[in-house]
Amino acid sequence: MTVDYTGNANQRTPCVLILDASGSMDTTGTRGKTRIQELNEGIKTLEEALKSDDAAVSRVQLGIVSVGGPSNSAEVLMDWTDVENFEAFPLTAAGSTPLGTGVRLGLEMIDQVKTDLKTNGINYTRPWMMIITDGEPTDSDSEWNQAIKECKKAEADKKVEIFTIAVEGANIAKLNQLSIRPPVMLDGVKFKELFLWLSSSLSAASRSRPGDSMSLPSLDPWRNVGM
Amino acid sequence: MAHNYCQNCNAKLLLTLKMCPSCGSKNIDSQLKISKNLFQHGTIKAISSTSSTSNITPTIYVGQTFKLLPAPLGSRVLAFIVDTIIVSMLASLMMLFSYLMTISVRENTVNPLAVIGVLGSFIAPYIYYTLMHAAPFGATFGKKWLGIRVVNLSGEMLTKMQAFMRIIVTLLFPIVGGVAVALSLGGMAISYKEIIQESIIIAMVLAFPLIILGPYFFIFFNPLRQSLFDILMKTIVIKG
Repeated sequence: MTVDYTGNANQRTPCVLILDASGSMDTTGTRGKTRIQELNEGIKTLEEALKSDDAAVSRVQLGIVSVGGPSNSAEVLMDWTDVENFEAFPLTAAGSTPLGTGVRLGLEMIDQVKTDLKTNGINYTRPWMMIITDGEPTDSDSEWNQAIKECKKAEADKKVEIFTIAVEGANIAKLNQLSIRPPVMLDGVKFKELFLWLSSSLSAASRSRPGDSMSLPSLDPWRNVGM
Repeated sequence: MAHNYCQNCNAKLLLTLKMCPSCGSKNIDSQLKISKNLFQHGTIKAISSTSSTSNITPTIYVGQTFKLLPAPLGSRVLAFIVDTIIVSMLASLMMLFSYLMTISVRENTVNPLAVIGVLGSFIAPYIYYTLMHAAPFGATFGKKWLGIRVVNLSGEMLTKMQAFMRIIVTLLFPIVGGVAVALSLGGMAISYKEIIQESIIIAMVLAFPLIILGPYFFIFFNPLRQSLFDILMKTIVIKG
């Protein structure tokens, strides 16, 4: 983990990104770029936007789980990292979409970071989990059902805020099973706009006190209004 | 900031990455993986998993798209000779300028332009190597002519500061080493009797080439064909 609890005792807002890097993300869009290229540019935008915000730099923590990709499995790609140490990196699209396993890994990461934060006496706001996918989960039924069960329990216990983002081609019905919030359809490949929204939302969350409610910025810049 | 490297494709990775996002390998280390026998023969086994069975030209992969092929020794020696001639000509022109500026002035007076000329002849190599290595093509005239250039270990062109520090290290090392040898062995030569004096003087004569060329011997033992200066400055002379 690249987190500094002794030099930086600020409260934290952890956010784990479950990113679909399956073969379907290699589809070329209308702008002449593949979805994975747009996603990679979006992650770079996220880095720049978060680093330009003083509160986010010291308070937001990021973790990344990749789904698919060259390893053709769901893996913890990036362990918890304070924004000040975060550098965007390009993902490579390949393989299948074991989204259920990826979601479960994300929940494990959240349990782990909460334990670490408690151990170090650091306050934290409710962690976020953002799931971005363009495909059909390829997990076994039992794995997918287990992921649904764990997500619902985590949300009911107020352990995590789950956001599901559907890119064109995603199975909306299945995504809908993961969170009490309905999935939001991404307008085309507006990953940059999505990650700018995420950055400003995380920034606002990191400024709030644990337990506070907050209103999120408008989704309009990136949401497909036809959804 | 410190980084790790993928041991499969040598991509530069953030410390918290548990897996290489480019190739999916979990074999990650703080050092670039360079096979010891990578450059001992004309052909090697590719270090990329995608071509592990094919024989290819020695190549270091940085990330997925950039390849570093260490420059052939012959090209480097020739480039060194060409650049030394160019730098010597530049320095000589500056000295000639100083001489011409001195002719016209009276005895016991100093022409500031002559001083500038002498100073220019001294700093000419620093300016030449700094500007050429930091240029977009990353090469001196000698290197450009022979199709080689200098980059850092990430495959990026050098900044002016990196290029300047590289030439400072390259030029100052022999000067500092030479002065150190002259002072130590010279001091001994003065102190000891005549018969030993001769041995010390011979040792001095032998030591100077070693000091000047010594840093270049690293090229023979380093898989990336880096001289001591390249190792210190984390640079590499590559083909192309």
